[in-house]
Amino acid sequence: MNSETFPSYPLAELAVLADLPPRTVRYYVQIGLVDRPEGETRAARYGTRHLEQLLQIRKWTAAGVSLERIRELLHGAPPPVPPRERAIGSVSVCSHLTVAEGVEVVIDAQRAGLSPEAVRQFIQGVMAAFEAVQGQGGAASQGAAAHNTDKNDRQAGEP
Amino acid sequence: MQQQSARLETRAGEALTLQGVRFTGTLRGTLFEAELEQRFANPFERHVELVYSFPLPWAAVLLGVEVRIGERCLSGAVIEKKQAEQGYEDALAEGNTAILLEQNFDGSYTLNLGNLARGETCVLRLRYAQVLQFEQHGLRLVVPTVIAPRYGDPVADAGLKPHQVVEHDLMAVHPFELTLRIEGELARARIGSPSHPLSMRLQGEGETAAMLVSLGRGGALDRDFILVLDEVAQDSLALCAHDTLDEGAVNVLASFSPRVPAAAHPLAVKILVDCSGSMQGDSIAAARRALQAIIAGLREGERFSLSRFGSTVEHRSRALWRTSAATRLAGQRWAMQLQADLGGTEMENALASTLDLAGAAGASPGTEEGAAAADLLLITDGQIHAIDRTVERARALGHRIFVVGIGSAPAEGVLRRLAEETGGACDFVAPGEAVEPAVLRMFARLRSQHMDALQLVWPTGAAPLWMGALPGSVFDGDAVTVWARFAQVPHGWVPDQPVRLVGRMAQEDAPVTLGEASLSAVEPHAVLGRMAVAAQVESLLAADGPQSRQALELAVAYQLVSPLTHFLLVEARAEADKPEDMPDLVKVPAMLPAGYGGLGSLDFCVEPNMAPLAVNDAPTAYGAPAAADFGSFDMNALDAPAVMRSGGRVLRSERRTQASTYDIPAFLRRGADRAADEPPRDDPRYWSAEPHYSGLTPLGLAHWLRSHPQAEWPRTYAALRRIGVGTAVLDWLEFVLADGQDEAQVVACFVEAMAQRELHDALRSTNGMLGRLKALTQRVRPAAAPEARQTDVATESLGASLQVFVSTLQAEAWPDCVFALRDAASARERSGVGVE
Repeated sequence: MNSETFPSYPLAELAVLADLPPRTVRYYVQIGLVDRPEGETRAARYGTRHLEQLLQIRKWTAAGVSLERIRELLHGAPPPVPPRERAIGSVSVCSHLTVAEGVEVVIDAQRAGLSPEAVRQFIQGVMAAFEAVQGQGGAASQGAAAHNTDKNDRQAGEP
Repeated sequence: MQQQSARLETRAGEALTLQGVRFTGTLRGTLFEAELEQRFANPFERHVELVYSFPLPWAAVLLGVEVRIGERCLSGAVIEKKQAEQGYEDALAEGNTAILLEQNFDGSYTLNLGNLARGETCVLRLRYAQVLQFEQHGLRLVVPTVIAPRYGDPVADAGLKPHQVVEHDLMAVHPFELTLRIEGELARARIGSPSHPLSMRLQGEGETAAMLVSLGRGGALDRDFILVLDEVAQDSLALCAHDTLDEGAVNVLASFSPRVPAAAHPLAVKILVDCSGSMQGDSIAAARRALQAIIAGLREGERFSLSRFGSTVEHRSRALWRTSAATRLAGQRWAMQLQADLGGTEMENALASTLDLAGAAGASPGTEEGAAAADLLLITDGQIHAIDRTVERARALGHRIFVVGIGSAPAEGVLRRLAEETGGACDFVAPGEAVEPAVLRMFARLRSQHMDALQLVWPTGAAPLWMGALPGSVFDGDAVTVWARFAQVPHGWVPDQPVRLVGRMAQEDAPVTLGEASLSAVEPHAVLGRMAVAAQVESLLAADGPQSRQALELAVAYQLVSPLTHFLLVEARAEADKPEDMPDLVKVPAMLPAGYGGLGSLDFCVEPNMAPLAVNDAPTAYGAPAAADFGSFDMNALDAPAVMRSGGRVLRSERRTQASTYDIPAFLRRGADRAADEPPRDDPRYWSAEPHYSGLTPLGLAHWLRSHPQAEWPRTYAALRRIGVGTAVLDWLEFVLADGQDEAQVVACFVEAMAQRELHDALRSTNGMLGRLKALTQRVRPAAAPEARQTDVATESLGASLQVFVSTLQAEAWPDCVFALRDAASARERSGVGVE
């Protein structure tokens, strides 16, 4: 047994200490926000570390932080680098691919990190999938000859 | 993170946890009894805890839960909430199997299926009953199947616990089967469904005939099932049933179909449309159609206003419009251009802001009959979490709220509460369903007489032990249902004695009988008895809050799941079968409602055999709307699909007028080369960004015209819009001032009048009274720049009305006549000296 888990409580006691319903505590454990307990079923015991995690979560949820974000904050393992934010005024070039009338795929190959071959493969897959769906729906075959006009669109990036 | 990997499997379609739902129901009179069968399985390698949140119909009473795990049939009990939660936790900690069914604060239910072993299956059967309400001579049966994503924080706003929050998955598919049996009189009704193709079969003959209804094609849990029955005789009735526990007691369900005369005062309605992101697609299209029908259905002399909301609220007019050709055209144009582009759903503030228009309406000239308070008509899908707060606020505002609910899974509970607690009414339109019948029904309610002081008059000698609250208002043709309980069969009580619903018309003293129902003979009827108790529990909760001891005792005694009580079942597992640790959590993802947020459209899926039903006969009342010759009336059809028109891709010219100033990037706001010429948009003297008007102010326009050469002056309405003149002014020009004149002439005269140097100076020098007085003196002077003027009579009259108009101008705001769509001269006369 790990020394840092001393003193140890059963789930019900931990919930009282953290002032949360037992169900919510268990939910946090199940979704990985709080570490799993030591020991099995009835004998499961929680320690100071778990209590600290719970109090931290309580503080953050009260401040309106989503559980997903809390998970990232607690388990800094994948470093908490915020996703690249698109700066205001930055310009990105996207390809708009018309699959059929009313169906368009927008690809920013640079951000997606796709090679031209990968893009082509992806597009072929999309086309095939669309044709399959159309065949199923028995819709009018007017859009069967899907024409892919590949046009480049200059967009002012907004966050 | 086991939970995530588990979900990945589900996405691949291999590992379904909710394998299907089968629904069976029987409709007898207005009593609908149903059984919902949910089939679960654990396809994973480890033991899991399944959590599934689902809706039951509004006002449905859960009567029983049966469980089969593997081949074992189990039964549980309804106990106090805290005990149930504790029992469930203990069972899981021990490694036993447990099932907990909770009723959530928002009226939905959450099923917790703890410790389902690998490969094990579980079948859950829920029995419930509800009393359907006749609405405008038709019955509408709704079986909700899914909870749509809602706006707001589920934990902070709706009081849900984290595990009860619904998660949606676009890839999830849950099959849905349905069979209904419609007995008695109703079997001969006209039956149809706007939501699903049906197959129907008549069984038996004569009195015992029953109509069997099932889905014509496999369904999925992605849209409400709706069954509409009409052309049925609607009766008042009072059913009496023995209580199940208390031998002597009698429960009574009294249902009236009231007759209410039409109101004497003309209708005044404030229309508020939800333009939040969730309305995208089919919903906003249906909202547009509904609005067109509403505007077309307004009569001369009635008043209305138009507003839309999302994160913010925008009012088309500053006060109520009097219905006229001009206001109808402007309204129809506004409705046609509606987009679901206002982001979030801040309903609370939008309601308050719209009702604030009342002050303006009362004070505005020409509202002699201003005594009649305006009602609010809300068109929305109701997808919000902050239900309690919104209802609370709406009630405090003190106006009746009428709701048209839209979408394939509208939040019925939210909308019904909103309507009922404010004394309004609620109606629903499914995607692909004709909106006109719902709009006609709404008008019938809006135009019916307000009734106060509703009361039930029982036969002499009968005093109920308990009686449910009567609704705050009653409408012609909308059933009123009341539950009551008597300690024993009263003395001298014979069947067929009438119980009467009486009310009083506003401003009159004499009570009027609205409906009369004959008491039936007292029969044993377990379902009815328990439903009466459920109604009592609900009213106790409303009155005393969650501390009510009596509510808790009743709910436990009659085994009713309520906000105070949960259903719990525990099955002890053999020691060898017990898992060693906590089960993995698997939330059953909900399907995304069909057509939600513009993801696909149901409008293209309507087939002949599911053609929408008109509840009344063809809406001939409309005739040709005033706008039949309106050039772009059919723009809905030509419109680009809504999904393609998200914020970023809106045309720049459109954007300028729709979005508030601050949404517009600086480099779009002012041409870099001619910044000096453009009126500054951050200065309220030049640019107005109010909820009812966003665009150039009079001073702003005058400034623009003075600083641009005459050759660049706008010559068309579109050109005026481009330089920043707002919709209100343009509609006023087109629908009021033009009066048949052609566009070029109207614009030329208007621009010329606005460009007068004296006007510009007067507006700039001051804002307020002084500016107006100066402008007034202008009127006697000959107009400047006479060279552009032709001397025909029509232009003369245009010029004359424009001079009157110009004389009322203030620097920062357009005069009232613009927002009321009236001509300037008549507006002045009506209000005496001047228009405030």
